[in-house]
Amino acid sequence: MVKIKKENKTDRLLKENLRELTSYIEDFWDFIPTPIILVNPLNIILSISKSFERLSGYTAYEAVGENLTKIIPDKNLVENLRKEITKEEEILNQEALFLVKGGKGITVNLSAKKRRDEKGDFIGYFLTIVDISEIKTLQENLEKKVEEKTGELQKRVEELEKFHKLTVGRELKMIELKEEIKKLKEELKKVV
Amino acid sequence: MLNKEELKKISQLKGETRGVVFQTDAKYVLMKEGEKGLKKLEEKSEELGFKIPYQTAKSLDWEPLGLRIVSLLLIKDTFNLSDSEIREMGYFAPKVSFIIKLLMKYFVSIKKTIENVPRYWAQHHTVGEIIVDKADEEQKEIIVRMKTPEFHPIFYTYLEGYYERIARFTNPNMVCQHSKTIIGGESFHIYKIKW
Repeated sequence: MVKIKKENKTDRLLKENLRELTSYIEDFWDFIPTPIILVNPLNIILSISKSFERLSGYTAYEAVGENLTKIIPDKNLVENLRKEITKEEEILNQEALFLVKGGKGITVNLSAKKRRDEKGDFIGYFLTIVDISEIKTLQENLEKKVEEKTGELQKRVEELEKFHKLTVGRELKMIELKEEIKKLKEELKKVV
Repeated sequence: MLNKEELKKISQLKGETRGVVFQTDAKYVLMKEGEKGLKKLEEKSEELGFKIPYQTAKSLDWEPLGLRIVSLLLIKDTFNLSDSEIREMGYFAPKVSFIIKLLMKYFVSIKKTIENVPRYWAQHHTVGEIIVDKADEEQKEIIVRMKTPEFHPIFYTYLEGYYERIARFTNPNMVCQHSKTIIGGESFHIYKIKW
């Protein structure tokens, strides 16, 4: 009788812990600001976070059950990602093109974390998708500006070199001419 | 038209299911009918004497299975849904179910999904069982048999869509079809999945 009571108490505690843990995961999954999805080994999306819905424009109804290539159109990249995550525990910051609803492409950084079952078998992976399109645009603009400025500087250097050549050449000519005058003067003296 | 007495009888059916089903029902109504629709449904269920925890149910808590069937009947009646829309509701559920995250280990291959079908049922319900009668990857056919007390037909229509979606987590071409059969004088619900 006492044993049953003890088991019931343990069961109750376990249930409470499970309830709290579930609620914690649910809240966390809904809150986490980084778009995150759960993918199975067949590259099928099993679950998406609220932030993923905001980034992609897709609801769970539209995205869950779809192949990853619906949002990452590069099939080779998706296949390599799957192959790599079976070997590695995680993959960090892999750049990719991401298609939001409507077909617009944005540049993102993908990071993946392997998931295993209790036997250690691969059962899929978490995939985070960070929008780096703004950073990428800024970087491209910056690179363009650096390129423009480098071009301008190059032009200035060339002009300076030209000027330098001209002025130095003139100096040398002057020296040559002075030498020649000197020689001519000496010859003239001899003649006179 | 819903009969209050009949609903009461259904709500008292033996067995329990996970609270997540009320969350997925609510999400379906929200998607189709918006906040107003969910409010309308809650008001209607209260009018009929049922307090269905659409917004308070916890995913893993056990709730009366009868109430789950009442919820399906209420949704069908409130929004005048057809059987195919009830099927669609079942198809929608795994897409938004929190439990799918916990059970992702079952959806890694066709073989593994089939192996775990009976366990999957047991983790969701306290009554009945599922038996895998046939699982032939070459013939591209899976047949599962449900041994449960006889529930309202709406539950089996819903499950047809639900199982199809679950199956499609491993192969997007799978199609599920429900039928009823009698084996040895006993009635069973059969789900045939082909691809």
